[in-house]
Amino acid sequence: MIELNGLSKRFGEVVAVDNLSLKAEDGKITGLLGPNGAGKTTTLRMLYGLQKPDAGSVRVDGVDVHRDLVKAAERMGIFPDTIGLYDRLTTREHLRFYGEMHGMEGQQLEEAIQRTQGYFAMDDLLDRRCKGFSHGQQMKVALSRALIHHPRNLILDEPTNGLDVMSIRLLRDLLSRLRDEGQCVLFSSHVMQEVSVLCDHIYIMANGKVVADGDPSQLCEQAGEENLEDAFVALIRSEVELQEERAR
Amino acid sequence: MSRFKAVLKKELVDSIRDRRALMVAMLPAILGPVFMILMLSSAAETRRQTEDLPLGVMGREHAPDLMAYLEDNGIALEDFEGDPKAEIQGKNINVILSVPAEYGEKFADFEPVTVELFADESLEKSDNALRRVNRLITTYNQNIGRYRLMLRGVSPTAVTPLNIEVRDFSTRTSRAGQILATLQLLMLMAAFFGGAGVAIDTTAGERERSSLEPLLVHPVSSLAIMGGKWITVAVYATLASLMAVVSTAFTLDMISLEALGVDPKLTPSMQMAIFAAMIPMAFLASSAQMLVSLFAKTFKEAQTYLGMLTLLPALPVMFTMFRDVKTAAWMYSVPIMGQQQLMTSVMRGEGMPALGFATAALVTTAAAILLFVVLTRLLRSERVVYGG
Repeated sequence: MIELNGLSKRFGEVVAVDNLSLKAEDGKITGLLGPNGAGKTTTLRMLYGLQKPDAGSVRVDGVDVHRDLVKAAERMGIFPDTIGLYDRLTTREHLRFYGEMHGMEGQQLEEAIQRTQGYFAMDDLLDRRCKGFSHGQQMKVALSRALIHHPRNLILDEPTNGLDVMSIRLLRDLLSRLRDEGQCVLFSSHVMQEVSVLCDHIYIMANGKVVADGDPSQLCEQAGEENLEDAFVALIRSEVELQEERAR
Repeated sequence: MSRFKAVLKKELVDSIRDRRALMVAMLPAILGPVFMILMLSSAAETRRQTEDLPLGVMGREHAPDLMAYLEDNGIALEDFEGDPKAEIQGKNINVILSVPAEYGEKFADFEPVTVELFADESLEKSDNALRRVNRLITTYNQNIGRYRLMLRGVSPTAVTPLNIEVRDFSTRTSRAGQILATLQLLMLMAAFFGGAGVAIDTTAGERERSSLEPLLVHPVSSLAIMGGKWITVAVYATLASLMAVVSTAFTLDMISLEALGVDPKLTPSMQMAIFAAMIPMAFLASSAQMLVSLFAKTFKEAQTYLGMLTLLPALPVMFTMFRDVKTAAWMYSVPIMGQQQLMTSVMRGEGMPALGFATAALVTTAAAILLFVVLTRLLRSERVVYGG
């Protein structure tokens, strides 16, 4: 379970995140939907502790991320917006290293590597060095990195970017499975279709604020539109217009 | 502890697989001393040549006293017959002296004798040889003149109102000091060369390829991460130092610099002593390089900064080389300068000063750890993780 409470962050004059609160529950897939520049990545960076909020708090399974980062990190699997693999290490060496970063070793670690590589059918990639991997292949390794320790909470920043159709299906099935196992999944996206297909609960962000939240049908209702895409546009419009007015 | 080991293992594997960077790091350590000693020995070679200047002589038997004087002053006499012009311009010999048959007779009668010097002033070697022989003969001339005056009861000082005395400071010992300093500089710089590439790769490089952020979201302390990185960099810096010391010793064994007035040899125990003195400095160089790289915005920027940092050992070396300072106790407490003073003692065969060694090791290690603590504190700062 992930709880963000009144988070704010500014970079100089720019307010990136403005008094944002959200809650991602166990056994549910929660989506953070917003246009580019809405503040999704900054929000997630504060969630996994690498950026300090100017105000507000982050709790993961009740652990305050900015008080006890190490303890909170044990409970999170993170897929950041950058992939960042080591060219000269193989997939297996990556998984082993990150497993060790979670304190795993020996038989337990080898089993975790087997389980994780099975998620994306990576047999053929396992003992190849990552240099020269396609974007999709790199994404698979990076997703496995987030899953190696079977985290209670999975946080993904734009996870489907650059994945081919087959891989996206694999990812969707995986996220659904994790939800059914009772895990908490939070992911950000600017792609409407994914969010509408997968998410149980959606937060819509614009200009660093949550402008609406609910399940897809509630959001449509709220905006008075037939489908989610129209609802999304309608919901963020007022906020974007406000921003433009301020800029003028 | 297990996480620290995992980071260390990953960093070592990753850097060992980067063969090209490894070569760039280790080659200067090995080849630097070799090239420098080869250059010094070729300088020694030309010096030896000028010391034994060959002089072709025609009619050598006519002036035995003059010949003895020339031989005493480093001239190698060779009997010469043939065409002086052709031989000199053919560069077979640089300068030729011709003594006439009536030399002895005229000399005894106190009459001036003409001796001829053949040379070609447009040829540098010939010109140099000519000057040197000319100078010697002029001195000989003056000496004889003075004796003759004395024989007639005139003080020779009457004809020499001025005395010129040239004091050449390039004495053998000071030249030896310069050569030792050059070798020290190469060994000290190796500690910087060795780790530079890896220092950049694990800090600025890690950020540039975006692998820092995914690493930091794991439940692992900054201490374990930075510790693993630091030890990796220091391993390379230490290895390069060791190679530079061994390479210097080996080359000095192969090539003699005796003609330069110095012939340092590094025995295995001296190599050990120098290497031991350098280990704390390798750790300091590593943490300093990592700190600088961590603040660089890009890989390239870090390379530029580290290039400048590598020149740091030149400062104390130049200070002691050109000002001819005596070792003072405070010098041991300045990193790099301390190590250089220790090297000087060892290379001069004076052994390792225990107190100096302890002071240098302590201060340098403390500085290295201090910088490491700063590194650890900075690792998770937003500026480091996301640039800016």
